[in-house]
Amino acid sequence: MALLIAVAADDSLREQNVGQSLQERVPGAATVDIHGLYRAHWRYLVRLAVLLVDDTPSAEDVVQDAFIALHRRSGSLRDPDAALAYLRASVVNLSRSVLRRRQVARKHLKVAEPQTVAPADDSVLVRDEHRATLVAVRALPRHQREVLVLRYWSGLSEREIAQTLGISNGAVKSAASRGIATLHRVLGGAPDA
Amino acid sequence: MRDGMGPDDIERQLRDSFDARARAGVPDGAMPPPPRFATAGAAPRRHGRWLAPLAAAAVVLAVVGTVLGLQSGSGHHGQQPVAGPSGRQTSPPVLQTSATAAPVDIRMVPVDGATYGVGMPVVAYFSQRFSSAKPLVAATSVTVSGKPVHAAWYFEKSAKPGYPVEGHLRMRDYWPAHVDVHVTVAANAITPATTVNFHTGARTIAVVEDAKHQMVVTSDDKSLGVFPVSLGTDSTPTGRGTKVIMAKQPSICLSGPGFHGCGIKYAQQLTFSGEYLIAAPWNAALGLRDTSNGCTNLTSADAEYLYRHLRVGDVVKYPDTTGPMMQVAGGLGDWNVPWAVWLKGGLIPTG
Repeated sequence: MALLIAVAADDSLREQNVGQSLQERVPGAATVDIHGLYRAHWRYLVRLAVLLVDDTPSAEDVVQDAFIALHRRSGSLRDPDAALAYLRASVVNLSRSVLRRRQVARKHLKVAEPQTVAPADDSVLVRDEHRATLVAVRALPRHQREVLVLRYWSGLSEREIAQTLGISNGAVKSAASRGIATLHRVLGGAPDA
Repeated sequence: MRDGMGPDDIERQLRDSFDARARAGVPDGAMPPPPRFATAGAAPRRHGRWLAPLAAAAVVLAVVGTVLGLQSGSGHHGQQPVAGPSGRQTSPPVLQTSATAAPVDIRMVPVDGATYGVGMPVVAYFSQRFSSAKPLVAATSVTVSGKPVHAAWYFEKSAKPGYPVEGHLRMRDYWPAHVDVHVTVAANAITPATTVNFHTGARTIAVVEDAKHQMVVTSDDKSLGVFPVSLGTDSTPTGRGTKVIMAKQPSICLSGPGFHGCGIKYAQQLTFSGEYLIAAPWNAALGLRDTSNGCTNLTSADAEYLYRHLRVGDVVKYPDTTGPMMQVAGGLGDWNVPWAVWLKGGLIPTG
């Protein structure tokens, strides 16, 4: 791991206090500015993918692929919000593909298993109690896991989650409550944080 | 004390754990690499556009390699980002640094004229790993108020996407106070020429004494005050060693074990792991006990005062806390590396 401080765009480093410049700026243009979207949402989308695939290199690949997909059809998208929704849905779909490939590799290449599981790299930076939660989340069925991430990390509404995953509002609701119930059972005995 | 956790606790813990995992995977300072959708077609010459505007106010030489330049110049293939999940280069080939190799494109971030604390290292990011730093070292000259001084590079792996290596440049001791620092890197086998110029402010050093639960701050040998603090508990101890203020934010969100809150004021960041000097009006143990998640808790008035009087690059020492020793990569941990070790160059030998 290494130092990640500093570096900025052309004029944004003028100020010494970086508080404001840390705010991500969302382009307000009428047409989709894909470079602007990339600058504004790259970190958010990679983090979303990290929560779904659990390793950063795969997550970065997923986001690059999502932007390539958007790039291909950017002519047909005018609304930045729609573009972000499209990117988010792409990230979820591509993350599923990553997990599927991992699973296939695991089934067919038993000897290669150590390499096919998610690298433990940066999850070691996470404190123990978080790790227990994350392990429990990882054990949930895919839909439940996705719903919990979109709800509790992305902060999306039920309707937005339904649109992102292409399922009904009711399905979102039941996946969330079943997921929470399972976590409650698994983690319930854990000492108070 | 409670026996178990209710659904609300689970939801809160989910938010915290997701947040912690997301940040561990992609630190707040993480920069997007050049987008692949752009490199698929034309050459990515618009460096300044994709560099996200985040920047802790480090003094920075951003050394940016263009894919095109490397491809056409060095003859090394396999460097180009490949669109596809399997295209990731986990260990990029080492760039040869013979005199004929094409230089990595270098781009200076304009921080000229800014003023920093005396503990501020110069930081440069390199888009390629190189096998020897000798050409870069030979090309680097540093002056302090016009007089040449000895400063040395130290290299390490970088977590910044697209930048496998970063170099830190510092003198044996902190920069002198109230001077102009000029760094010149002449064109060499690794990079083209670049410069950076900045000022230093007062020699401001804070020492946080865990045993006394207080923070003693001096500026140019005059006292700025002694402030009661509360540091990390035994289970979440504050790290030991010399840290440097890397960013200042008037208000932030923080999360830790069983804790997530926004609107935390007068935050001055010390480590990537999330140690800050912060206003902690909720903490009744300032000056008495360690009760935090690792942050240095201060009264609101003290935190505001220090926010106004400390700047990025100022030094904050933790000689007697029980947490892990501050590493270079943990933030601006440069001053924890002994000079003799620093001179060897770290990841890339300078000798």
